[in-house]
Amino acid sequence: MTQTRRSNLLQALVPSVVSGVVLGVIGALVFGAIIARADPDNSDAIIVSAYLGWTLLFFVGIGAFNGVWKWGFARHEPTADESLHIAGHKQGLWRYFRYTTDHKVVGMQYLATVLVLFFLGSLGAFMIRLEQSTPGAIFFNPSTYNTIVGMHGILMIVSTIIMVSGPFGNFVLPIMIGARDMAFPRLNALSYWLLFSAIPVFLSTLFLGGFPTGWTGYAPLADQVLTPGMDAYCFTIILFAISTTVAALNIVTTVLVMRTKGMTLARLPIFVWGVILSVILGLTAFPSFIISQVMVLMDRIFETSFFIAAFGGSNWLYEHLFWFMGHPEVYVIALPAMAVAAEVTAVFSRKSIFGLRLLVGSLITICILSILVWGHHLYTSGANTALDGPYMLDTELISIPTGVFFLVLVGTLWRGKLWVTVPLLFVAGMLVNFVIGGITGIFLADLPTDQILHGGMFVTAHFHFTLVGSMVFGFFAGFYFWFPKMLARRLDPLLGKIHFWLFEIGFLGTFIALFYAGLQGEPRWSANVAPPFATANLIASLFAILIAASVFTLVYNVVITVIRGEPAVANEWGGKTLEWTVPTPVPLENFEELPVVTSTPYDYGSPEPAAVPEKTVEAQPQLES
Amino acid sequence: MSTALEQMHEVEPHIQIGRARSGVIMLIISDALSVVAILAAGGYLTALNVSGQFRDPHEHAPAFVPGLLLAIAMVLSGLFYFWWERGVKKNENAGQPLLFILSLLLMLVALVGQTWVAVTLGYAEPFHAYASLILLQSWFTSVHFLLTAIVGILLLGRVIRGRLVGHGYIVEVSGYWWYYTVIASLLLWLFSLLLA
Repeated sequence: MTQTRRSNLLQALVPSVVSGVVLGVIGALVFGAIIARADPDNSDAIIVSAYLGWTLLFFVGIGAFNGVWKWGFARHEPTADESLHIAGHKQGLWRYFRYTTDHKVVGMQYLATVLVLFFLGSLGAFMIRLEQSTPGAIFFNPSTYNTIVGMHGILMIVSTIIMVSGPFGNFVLPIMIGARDMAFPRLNALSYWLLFSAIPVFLSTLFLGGFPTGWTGYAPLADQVLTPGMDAYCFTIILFAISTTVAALNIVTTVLVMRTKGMTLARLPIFVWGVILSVILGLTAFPSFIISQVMVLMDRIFETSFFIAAFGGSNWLYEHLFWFMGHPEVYVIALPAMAVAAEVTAVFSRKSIFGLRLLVGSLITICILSILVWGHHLYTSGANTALDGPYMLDTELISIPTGVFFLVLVGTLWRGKLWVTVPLLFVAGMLVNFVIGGITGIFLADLPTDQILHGGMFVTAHFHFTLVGSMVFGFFAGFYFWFPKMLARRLDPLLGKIHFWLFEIGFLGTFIALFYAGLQGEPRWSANVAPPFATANLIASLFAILIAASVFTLVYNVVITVIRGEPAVANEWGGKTLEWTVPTPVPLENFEELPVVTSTPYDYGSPEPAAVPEKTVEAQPQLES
Repeated sequence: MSTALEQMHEVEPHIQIGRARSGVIMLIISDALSVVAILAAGGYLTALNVSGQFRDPHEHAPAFVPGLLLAIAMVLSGLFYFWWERGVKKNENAGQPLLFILSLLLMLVALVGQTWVAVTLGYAEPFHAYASLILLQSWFTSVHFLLTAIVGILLLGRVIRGRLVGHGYIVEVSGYWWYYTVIASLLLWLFSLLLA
């Protein structure tokens, strides 16, 4: 009996995240020790090899390589039982801590991770606002402050990149297109666990001196930073970029290949378009970012000189490689959030999306234009200015398809039967904030005004309006919309509304104050607030308290709902996309019978369902005959 | 076990083929953009030649003959793979495994050779931008060869176990990556010749 229990416990723990972490730590120690013995003076090499050891052995421990080995050398193809086992069949909650391939498990893992990263990033933001509430140093020295700013930036950027495509792109998207799973379930698990393995690497920077470069990691400062905390930054970025690349090729393939019968491209829900365009953009933009971080690591470890001017390198090279990713990344974040907003608006207006094809065309246009705008981040760098004009024109052209997005949403709301729920409130907030974020962006795209505003608090306020006020609001619209489907519980709508209003008022107060500080001339990267900007910063910090209260309201709502929330029904909002046709909680196989799609998912004027079970369609000719 | 659960496992053949093709093509696009980033970085630094320090006079070009031999090995590896793939397509079985083994052996030889080239470049620290680029290209190519060799070893496992029968598409899509590795390595080698 005891032996059986011990054996069951061992089977549960190996492979799992527990065995992964144990082996990963051993790997870090062993790899680090080997390099320390070979090259004791090269702390960067020691640290990076420890990270490499952690990553490789973590994946051995969690069982990621088992499938690879079996793919080549097993005597037979995997059986149905083996496939179901790795998909987490009958494994209870423990499946969330294993290398589980079920897309719904991966979606939930992403959701939990995004919320935790948001929470940690928010703590960084509150520390920043606390430090900046009065002139002079309060809690942190400049180096610590810079590290907090950098960590806040990276945590938030990483979270926002994955906040929609990770949780909803994994959980909802396959069901929306009528698939039983993603195209590559094992790669799906790999993409999540790569993200997971990057988190300890990133947090280790706290014990290694931090990285005072800010989130951009600009070289040559990144080369010259003497603390090994910078290595953590570079390695984290590499892991994260590989994770998103794997996720991207999986999502694209899933949409291309796994769609059910009748799900033509014209019938794809707008959310699917948003996600697929976003990940295609990521797939294009992230390789240059990986290469830039490989170069920084080589500069630090092997004394190469990609970015050291004294030996023929150039800081501009880093800026080009970084911003070739850095600006499209804004749209990697924006496109799925905008698509969520359109999806939610259609459901709660009980109308088809106004100009659906126009919207899809606009998203594609944004996708194409955004690849060619990175140079506007180099206006004031002193680099060659020959292309500044085209960069300016291209950046401003993006405002046209973005304007179409507003037109489509307003057109959808117009004369709709509005059901003002929490998701729709967040869409409304998104529209307000996005107008402000978008219009202030035009000033930064213009070369003459950018010369004045660049490097100031105006830029900080602008991109917070775009990324937080617009895209994070879009995420929350999706969060409240799909939460009942994902967790089979209803969030408290009153707490949801309190969350929204605290967030919206707090957000507007904080960042409008920072716009004012920026127009007064406050620089961005300053640990201590100068007296002329004290009032604006104090106002911003006071309003930030409301944002903090909104975060705690959300956390309370989620915890209470998970513990004792009302059970949700299958079609909580009366939506017509396929995820609302499956039971809640969603079974492992998603559909008892695969659906056949017969119309677009926004035809609220028709009483007919947008899809019918496959068997019904097959039976029809027989009935007729 | 319900039918729906069984269907999760039994993916239709045309979907298996489609997803394998799409996945590998996406991977190649992403990796090719890394190669483009390296080439663009090289071109940019060469053009800037910051303070005339792009290349130290002591930083010689990598030896031509080993590079040429590696290029020939890569082309032959690609050709052997192509002939093997053609046989697999015609016969719907494992084709002529000897051709594949030759292809894999050449890839392994290229891996060892490329690593040897990278280790024995003989530049002195601190490396100027030119040497930095050559080091990056050399190691990047080695990593490519390593990944392709791993793919090859796994394929060899399937050949040995007789698990390629009815799965000819695996040979086809692995071929995409194989040919891409050959082309990328040739491009990087030619670029290093141009920099010299």
